[in-house]
Amino acid sequence: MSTEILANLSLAVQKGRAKDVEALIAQGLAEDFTAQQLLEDGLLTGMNLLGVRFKNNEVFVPEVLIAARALNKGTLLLKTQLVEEGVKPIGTVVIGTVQGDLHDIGKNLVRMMLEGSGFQVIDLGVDVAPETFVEAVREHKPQIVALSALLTTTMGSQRGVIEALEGAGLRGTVKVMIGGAPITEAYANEIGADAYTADAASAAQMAKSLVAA
Amino acid sequence: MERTLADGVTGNAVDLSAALGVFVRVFCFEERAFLPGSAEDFCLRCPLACGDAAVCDSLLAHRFGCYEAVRWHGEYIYYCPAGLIFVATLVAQNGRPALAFVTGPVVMGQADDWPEFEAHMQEAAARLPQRTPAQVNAVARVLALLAAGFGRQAPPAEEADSFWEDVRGPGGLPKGFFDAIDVQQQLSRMIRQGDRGGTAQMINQLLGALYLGGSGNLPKMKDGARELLALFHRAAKEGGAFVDPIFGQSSDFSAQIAGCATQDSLSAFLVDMFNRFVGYVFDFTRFAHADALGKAAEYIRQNAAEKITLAGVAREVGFSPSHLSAVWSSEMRVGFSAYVQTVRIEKAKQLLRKSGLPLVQVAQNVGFSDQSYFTKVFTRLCGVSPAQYRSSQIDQISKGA
Repeated sequence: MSTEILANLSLAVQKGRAKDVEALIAQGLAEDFTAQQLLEDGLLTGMNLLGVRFKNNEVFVPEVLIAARALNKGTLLLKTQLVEEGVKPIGTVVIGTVQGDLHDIGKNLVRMMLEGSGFQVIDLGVDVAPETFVEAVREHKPQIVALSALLTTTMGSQRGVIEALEGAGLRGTVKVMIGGAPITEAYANEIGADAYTADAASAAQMAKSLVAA
Repeated sequence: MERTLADGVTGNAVDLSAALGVFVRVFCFEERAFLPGSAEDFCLRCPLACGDAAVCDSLLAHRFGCYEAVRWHGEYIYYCPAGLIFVATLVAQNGRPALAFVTGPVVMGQADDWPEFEAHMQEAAARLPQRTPAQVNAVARVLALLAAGFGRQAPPAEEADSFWEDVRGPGGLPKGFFDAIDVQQQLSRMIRQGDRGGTAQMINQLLGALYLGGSGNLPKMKDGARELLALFHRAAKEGGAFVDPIFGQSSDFSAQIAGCATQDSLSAFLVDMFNRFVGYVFDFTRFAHADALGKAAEYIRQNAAEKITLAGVAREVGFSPSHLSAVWSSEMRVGFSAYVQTVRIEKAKQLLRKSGLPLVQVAQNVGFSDQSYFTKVFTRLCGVSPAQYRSSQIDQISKGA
């Protein structure tokens, strides 16, 4: 059992080589690695390293997407074993773009980076009403709700979701993260959100620190 | 890229190093780095031996050489900032740059071809493999033949992939999304100010819009990609960047986009374009300058007997006269005319030592049509007249004997 496989798996994810990922996972399982090891020390390590480079603008969006595809192929292959080993995602995030806002570019990127960090992500899409967020929180019991807004005219809807969660008595059960072009740290504080991040890679890091806390 | 291609090319690089007596390393475009296992670091042979990556970033210097090979039909001979010569030879796969052989360092010329203030080059010429221009060209041609052979290997089959449909949202980019004038102005301002980080961030924001905001299929993605590259083309021009190495003729990228058969090949094309964009606009400038100045100096040394003008040398290195003049005065230790005179006087000293040519002939052989002017310049630079210099050298030789 050589840890070289884990390093190669990480590299294959970073380079987005889905076929190499599949072959390395088959080899890893044959060599008695656990699915959890292959996932965490191989696939997710690779995605995290790429995330850091993405945050530093050293790689471009298509490279991240291709890496995400390789990661998805890998996690699909490991799915059955992960359930057998009792491995759970590091957390669940409900994500969506708030009511009145049809933008999903930033939200999709954040979703991808969250998945790449080992989260299960429930994506509610765009133009999501506050009550839909409340229902999703009731149903999926996430640790985090992530709210995206790209317009100054719709950023107020983020406050609406927080108020709806308070009204339903669920605010204490989840952390609320917000993001989007017009959003600032000060605004996050003003509406009572738990965290604001400026880009997708930082959002994934923030989410990890929120569930670890 | 198939791993077998990298293995095959790296294996050949080792053989080539032994056969040619110079290092051959393999650069990988996708990884933007040299592949391991081909040869040791070129800089171990550098006569400057400054060991300071900030002074001379070897990887960037050679990345510049490899991208220039892409631009110049697969091969490029260039000077690194230390004044040593390298050859970059492209190995294309699937019609796209995959790997490149980087061969060197060699020195063109003899130790006493360089003026005294370029002592490190005199030392390099004594220590490193010396090649004539014809030999360097021959090496470039042989490597190009070899590279062409690799390029004929069957490319991996391209498959259409539903993944690309899944990453997209329901919206769809409106036509003309990338025509926004304020984005162009912001970009050109960042380019003018040398804001590399801000520009790279903007590239990713706009690529994010193209990939995650479009609802389109491949043809729509291609339309968006065309608009996006046209935006960067305009902004770079407006920002004063020299865009020819990146975009070529403005319609070139349009044809290349049309040739992308899948989302994967379109993505690889865009990543390559934006790597080149950031490279040429922000990273390669000082290496492009070092290369052009190396070639200008080489041209002056080779043509000392002819009439040499700034405009003529600029034409040789592909710069405008004003650009060459600006680059020369900011980066060379002596002015253009002073350099030309110094090179001519060095050559005159050689002729005075080694030949019995009459002074009028010596003057003409090093580009002075007027012997009295030659004597005046010689005396100013050397402290003695040409005739005195010759007799003192003869004295020294006879004393030595």
